[in-house]
Amino acid sequence: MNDEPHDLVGAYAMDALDPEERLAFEGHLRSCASCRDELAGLGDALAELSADYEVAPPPALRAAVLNAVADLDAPSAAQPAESTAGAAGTAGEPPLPRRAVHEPEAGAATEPAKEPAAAPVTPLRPPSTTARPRWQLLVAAALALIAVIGISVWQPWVQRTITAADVLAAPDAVRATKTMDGGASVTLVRSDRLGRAVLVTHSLPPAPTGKAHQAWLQHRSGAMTSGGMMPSGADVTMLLEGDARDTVGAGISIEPPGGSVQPTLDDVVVLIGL
Amino acid sequence: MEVSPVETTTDAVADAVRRCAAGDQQAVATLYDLTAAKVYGLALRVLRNPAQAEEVTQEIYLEAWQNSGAFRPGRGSGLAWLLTITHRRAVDRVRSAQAASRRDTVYGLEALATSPVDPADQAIDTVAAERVRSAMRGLTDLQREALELAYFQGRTHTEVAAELAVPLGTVKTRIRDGLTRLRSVLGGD
Repeated sequence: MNDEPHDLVGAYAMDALDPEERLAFEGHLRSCASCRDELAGLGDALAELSADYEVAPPPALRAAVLNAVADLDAPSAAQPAESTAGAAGTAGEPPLPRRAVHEPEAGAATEPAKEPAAAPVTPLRPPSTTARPRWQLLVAAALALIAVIGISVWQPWVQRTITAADVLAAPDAVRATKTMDGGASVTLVRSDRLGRAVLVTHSLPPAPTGKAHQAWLQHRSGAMTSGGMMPSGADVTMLLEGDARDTVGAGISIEPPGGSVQPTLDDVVVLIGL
Repeated sequence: MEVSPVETTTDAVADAVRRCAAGDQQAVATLYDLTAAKVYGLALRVLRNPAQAEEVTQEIYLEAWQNSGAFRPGRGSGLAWLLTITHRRAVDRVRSAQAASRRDTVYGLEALATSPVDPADQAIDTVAAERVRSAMRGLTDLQREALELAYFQGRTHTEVAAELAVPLGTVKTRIRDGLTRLRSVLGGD
């Protein structure tokens, strides 16, 4: 058991650490210049491997990417590099993507909704696509493409269909881990930017027969709200339901299969504070 | 320890990232053109699912645009920075798919396993690729296997140790040594 933290630098570079180990190693990195240097070199070596797996993406992806970027705010972090040199992952935190919903054009909104599909009466505007500037057509084409490529591509940044992976990868994610008697552990990860939290369990003992695990968000006010019923399994990664921005912790309790409105206090399995 | 020289002026990717940080949207197109095949290729290699690889690729450029200010030229190349966030995101997806597949039956890995990417599709026969392959051949079997499982299949080192039936401590050092060796072979010129 020669558990030198430095030994983990390779596994960290390859994202081969468990969430808790990753967190602990990031703590070590902040205080170990030699590991930071080594990590930079290993990252470059891994980048060299990319020569062996290049694949051209589908051509349509380029327009989708550029269009999505054009729709976001400019990055907030135009600060000089040296100003935040100490903070590896937290620097340059972006603003919330501010994005207006695509409102229908004013003219279109006044169209009578119940008009039968046949016999289009007096269109409000001639359908003269030729009058439109070419760039508008290109934008429309790009938007249509994005719709085809898939809403799920679009949403994480826009309408916030957020996955557990998004929360785990969020630059502003904060984590806390609670180890339980018997070696099970539960990690809470919360991203304020995404407004969501994730629970990651390892070796969680099963709920008693006829019962289920229910996740809870603990709010600053002291209130507990349900984060949803947990899937059965010892190693589960679960995106909790509900806005996690004002939460100070999370917990798991044993409840009837349909869940409870409030946690059964005698059956709280674990509470994790952030 | 040899510290690799900072070649910021020859790192076109880093230059593009810096222009992104300055708010230059054109730079995203440059960044994409310089790196998309590598970003998509890595996502595809890890996820083995073209649709998911496309999603990740799109997310990466959005993240790169928004977080470009976090890039630190002294901490490795621009490409390394971009591929690091790509790999992290792809691996997190694989792991949540694994967690989901435990409850949702077949959706995740088994579906992926039945539609593996044809290696012939993916391998690009270039001088650079041959150089990488030859460097990989210079590793021990254990180093190579550990690297393949961890980096390309998204396994944790604990899982790698179990799969290869070697102690965790051995996996840790083999991964580190293997990468260091690759670095010295590939970074040499």
